[in-house]
Amino acid sequence: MVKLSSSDGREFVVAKEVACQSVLIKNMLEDLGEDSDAPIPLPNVSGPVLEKVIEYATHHKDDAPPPPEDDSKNITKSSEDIEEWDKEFINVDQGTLFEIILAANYLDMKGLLDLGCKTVANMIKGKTVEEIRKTFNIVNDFTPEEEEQIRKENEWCEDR
Amino acid sequence: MLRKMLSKGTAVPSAIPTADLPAEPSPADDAPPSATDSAFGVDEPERIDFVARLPYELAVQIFKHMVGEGRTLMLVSKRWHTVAQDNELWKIAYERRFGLSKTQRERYYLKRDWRELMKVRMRLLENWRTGRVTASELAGHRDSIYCLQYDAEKIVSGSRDRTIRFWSMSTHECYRTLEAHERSVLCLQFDDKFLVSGSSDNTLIIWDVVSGEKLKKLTGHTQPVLDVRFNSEVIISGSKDSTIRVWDLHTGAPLRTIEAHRAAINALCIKDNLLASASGDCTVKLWEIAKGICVREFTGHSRGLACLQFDGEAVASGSNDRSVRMWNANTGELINEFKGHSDLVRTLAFDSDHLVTGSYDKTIKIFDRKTGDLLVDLRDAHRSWIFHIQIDAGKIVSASEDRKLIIWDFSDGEDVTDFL
Repeated sequence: MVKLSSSDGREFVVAKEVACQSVLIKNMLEDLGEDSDAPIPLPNVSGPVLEKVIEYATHHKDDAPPPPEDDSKNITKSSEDIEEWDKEFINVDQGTLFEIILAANYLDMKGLLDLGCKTVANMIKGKTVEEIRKTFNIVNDFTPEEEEQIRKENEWCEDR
Repeated sequence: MLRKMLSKGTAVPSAIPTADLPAEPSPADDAPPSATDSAFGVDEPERIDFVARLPYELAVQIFKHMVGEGRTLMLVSKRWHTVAQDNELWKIAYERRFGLSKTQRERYYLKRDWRELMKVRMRLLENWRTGRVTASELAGHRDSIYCLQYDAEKIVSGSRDRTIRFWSMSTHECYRTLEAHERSVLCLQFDDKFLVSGSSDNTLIIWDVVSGEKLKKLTGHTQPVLDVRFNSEVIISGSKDSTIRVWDLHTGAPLRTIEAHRAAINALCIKDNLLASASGDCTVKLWEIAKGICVREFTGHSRGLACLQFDGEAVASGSNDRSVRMWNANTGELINEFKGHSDLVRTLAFDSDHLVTGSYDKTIKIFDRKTGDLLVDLRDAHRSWIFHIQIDAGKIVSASEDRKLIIWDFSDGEDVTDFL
């Protein structure tokens, strides 16, 4: 078992294979050696988020390791293929989703990071510019002239 | 908890949902609420500009799932515009739209401006659609030109004048003439080592493509050799005698004869371990090269077939019934039919966007491969039958009975060597 300590000082005890879903923790454990009893401090992850992350890591602990990064894989990158459990898991408010993405990035958990990014992408997809701004409360900081120029510069783009 | 963590990262004020507020006065109008004004944020779910507040690399990660929607994304805000211009995103967009050939992959390890590449490539596509093209003639053969193949440096053509000529792609000059066939040169293929030609003298000749030296003569066919293809191991020839013969490329030894069709075999195409053949008997057949067995047959044309292309996924065949049919090579299902020629379709070539055909009606036509629409009709350049064409992203090269080769250049002065 491995002890993890969140930014707000909460301690979580998890199985090693669960903790090692995080490449960051895995590398730390290798550096520290097996016997260390001290909790691993995760100052960038709050208790509630760490709880979510552990839930994810527990569910996915028996997954095959992700394939090595490959350029040609990008071709098939699709945001539609999210499995049911993951969909339910990531069905959270924007604030929590934001924190999960940051935590997954910090902890180096490729699967979870990917899930987070896909989820944001799905919130954007198919929306008009106005709808996107509304969804994420974004203020249009372009002048009409700038907007027109961007449109012009990208006339040759295909929308697919 | 959330706020505390955010304040550690990017120093962006927490999102306040002003955009969604009703028009009537609210407390927020009097005094701007602070980011920690809990009374304000209770009813509205928190909204976060992920793209602005996540580190740049993560914003790019998100956009990777939306390649192709760049034109919308870049109009949301300045920050979104910046992220949408990321070079890696454009590379993915380019690869998804046009694919990358093996040689391109090798050449593209260097850093490139993928947006610019995409832009030039799209402009090139537009030239294909509108027929903005410059034609150059290469004259020198003393009779009909039946076949050609080109690469970046040269065009090699075979003629009824019994010669094979090499032309410089840059100067358009003929710099070598090979003579050994006793009658017309009907078909040829070359790679970086060999050139193989087939003739109406019923033979094939293997040449050293670098030196021009004649290496071997292959005899066996009892009628003219109408088409020839080879890979790293075997030469495959199709003849008017209705057989396909397989030869060892290195020794020239005959390996197998397939009684393939009930009429002349007019066209062949190899892709990996599969061979496609088109015949005067109106059918296309797909063969496993190693075993010599037919794995699929494509029927539907009402007259004999003259030409063929097969890329592993699709088969296209051109016919004396004046049409081209495109089939799904794996299922045999008809994908599309291309009509417009008023005579036999003698030669064809397709890429991901276009199908290009040459006909005895003296025209070359460019079709939209997906919709089947006729885009451009290239007429009045060749004065007689079109016998052969080859295409790439930037050009068509055609050979005709009028003894000319024509290079149809769509680049409009742009450097397109990157796409070839």
